[in-house]
Amino acid sequence: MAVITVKNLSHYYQDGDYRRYVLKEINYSFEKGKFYCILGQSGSGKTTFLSLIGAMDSVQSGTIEFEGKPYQKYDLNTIRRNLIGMVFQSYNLIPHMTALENVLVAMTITENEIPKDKVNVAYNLLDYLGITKTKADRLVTRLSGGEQQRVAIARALATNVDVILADEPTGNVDEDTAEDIVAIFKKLAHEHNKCVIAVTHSPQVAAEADIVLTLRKGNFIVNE
Amino acid sequence: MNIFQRALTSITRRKLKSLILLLIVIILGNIILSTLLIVQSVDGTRQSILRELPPVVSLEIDYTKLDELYKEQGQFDKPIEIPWLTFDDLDRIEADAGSYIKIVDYSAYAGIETKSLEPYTIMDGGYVRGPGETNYFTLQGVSAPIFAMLEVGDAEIVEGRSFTQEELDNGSPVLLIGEGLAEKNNLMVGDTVLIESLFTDYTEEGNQVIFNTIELEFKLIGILKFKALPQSEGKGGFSEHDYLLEERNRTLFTGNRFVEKYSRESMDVWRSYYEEKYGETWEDYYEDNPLAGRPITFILNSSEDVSSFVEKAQAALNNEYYYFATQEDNYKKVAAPLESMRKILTYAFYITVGSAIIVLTLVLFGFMRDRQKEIGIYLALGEKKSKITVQMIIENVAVGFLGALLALASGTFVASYISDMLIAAPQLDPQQGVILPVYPSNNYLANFDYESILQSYQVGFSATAVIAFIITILATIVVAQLIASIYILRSDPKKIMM
Ligand SMILES: Nc1ncnc2c1ncn2[C@@H]1O[C@H](COP(=O)(O)OP(=O)(O)OP(=O)(O)O)[C@@H](O)[C@H]1O
Ligand SMILES: [Mg+2]
Repeated sequence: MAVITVKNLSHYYQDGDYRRYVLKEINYSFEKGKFYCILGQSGSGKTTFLSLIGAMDSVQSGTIEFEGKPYQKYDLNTIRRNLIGMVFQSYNLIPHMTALENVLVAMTITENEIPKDKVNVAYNLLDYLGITKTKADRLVTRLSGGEQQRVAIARALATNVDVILADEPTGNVDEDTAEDIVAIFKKLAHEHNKCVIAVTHSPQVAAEADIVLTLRKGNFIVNE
Repeated sequence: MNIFQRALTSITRRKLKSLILLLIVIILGNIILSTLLIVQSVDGTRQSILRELPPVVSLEIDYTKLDELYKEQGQFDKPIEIPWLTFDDLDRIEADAGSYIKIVDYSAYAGIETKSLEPYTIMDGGYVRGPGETNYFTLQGVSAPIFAMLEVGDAEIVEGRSFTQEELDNGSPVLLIGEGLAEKNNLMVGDTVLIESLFTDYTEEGNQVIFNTIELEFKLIGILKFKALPQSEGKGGFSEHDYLLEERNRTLFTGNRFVEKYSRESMDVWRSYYEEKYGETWEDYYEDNPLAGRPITFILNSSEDVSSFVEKAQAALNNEYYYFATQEDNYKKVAAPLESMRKILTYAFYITVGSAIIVLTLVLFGFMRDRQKEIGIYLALGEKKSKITVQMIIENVAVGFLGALLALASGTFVASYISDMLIAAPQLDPQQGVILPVYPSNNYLANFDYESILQSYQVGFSATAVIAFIITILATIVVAQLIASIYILRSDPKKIMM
């Protein structure tokens, strides 16, 4: 069943008087339980697409629906808070907090149902992603890039969302770590029935995906 | 990690930021606290001095208004027309503000030139005698059995009694005089006092001639003792107190009706003398109005009533040529250096708070920029902008509160220092610009002296100043943070994160 449905989605950036369209009438449905990779040349609009699905930007024309309900009916904040988890290339963790605290921040912001003993849940989640309790209690600035990205994934998962978006999640880590992260994404999709959409430049990462979407001239070329 | 926990981690783990804010609050706090403490101490001194005083309000002619009128008129020899106070006015005041009033009193005055009484003198040469052999006395009327002078404690009856209402109403020839005058003339309560009021003129050679007399026969019903003034030394060892004592011992107290009657009689004597001497008719400039030009003393039930009374009475009177003088007005005239320091510091307070808001806004704006990423993360996680602002406010208010407490520790010293410096500053010297009244004229407002006011002035803490200070600091921080939060409003998580 489709969790995110994109209909006639177009997006432009203003270049002086000229509207330069980056996305042109995209139609696509994303499903739970699948790991998607979006490929495309630099500047092809991958981040733009992800930011629209991630409710970081408002839709200009066309619609994005979450389980049938268009984004326009929500407040963007609410989508970010309750429906979508995001992972970024540069981790984006709060530097003066520990790994655990970073995860807990997301857990207190969301309105989704979270088990009462948040701290234990967060520790377990981090542990599941390979961050031990000692590391979880460290300031994130004292973790390696790969470890930080795992914390970021834990944070995205902590709010119990079904959709995880990742913009070049392996862009800043070495190959081994990239493999680990891809393995995590696959596990999330296949074992935990999440819809994982990752933008990447890496053919190795894309090779692991269930579905590869290539953005070209504002539209997807689909490879199943 | 709710916003309180987030705030706490930010305060404790981003120490430099907290320290900078703390330091700024301590510095600005000391200035703000000093201004508040000094203002409050000046107020406290005024209040404690005024609290001790009887609640006297004096209805007086506004001489600055009269001056203006004279100037407009351009002729100083012609009388001016203003709506003089009447008994109807007093009735209206009593009708509207009577509930505040304990006693209303005013005094009619008349001069008496006589050889029948020996004047009371404290020092040789202290008393200035007229060029002839006559002595001058003042006949002063009162309008209540417990008249203002007794009520405010300027005098007490040491022998005999005061007037009865009946004696006052009838204008009976009964007299109260001071101890000094009684002793000098061997007068005792119950005595009949015969006074020959002399009307004199001078010949071209400078000799005094008596052209008429009025015989007055009083019954002495009581002896007054006048309250001592604080012994402030005047020139040549002759103090203000001595001067006042002589003045009062040259006064014969009786009812207003009597004084008014006597005034009319003596006016008639003068009129016929004038018309005979110069062959012209004496023009009456004024209608006979015993209240014209007289201050009316209102003694109220309580000091707290003063401002409400003045407000109501002023409305009832509705006469721009009169005003209600209060103890506070008088105090403020004498304590002008303190009061103007208070005024300067009140401005300083607002200026400092204004600058504090600007400085803090800039600093907090800097902090926001420094935390751009953190703010972006909160937004990306779907946090409301209002909550992020509240978190920042909590952080800064907590640090600000600590800074305020630290400022309290040093504030009194700084305040005392600033206060001493300002009081010592030459432009605040009381001798310049402020004219101290030598003795109370004919009202019963207290006579203040700057030195003793200064003695009771001391910079210290009060709960109100401390609370006002903490509220000011915290409000300043909140306002600054709210302005700086424009940064949060304008933050776009996509730009920050992606
Ligand atoms: N805020 C913006 N204003 C104007 N143009 C923009 C803006 N953001 C992106 N663009 C342009 O839109 C196009 C698509 O950008 P986008 O960031 O989506 O590309 P991308 O596929 O993510 O590229 P990369 O692989 O380099 O990250 C680019 O040409 C970019 O310059
Ligand atoms: Mg990109």
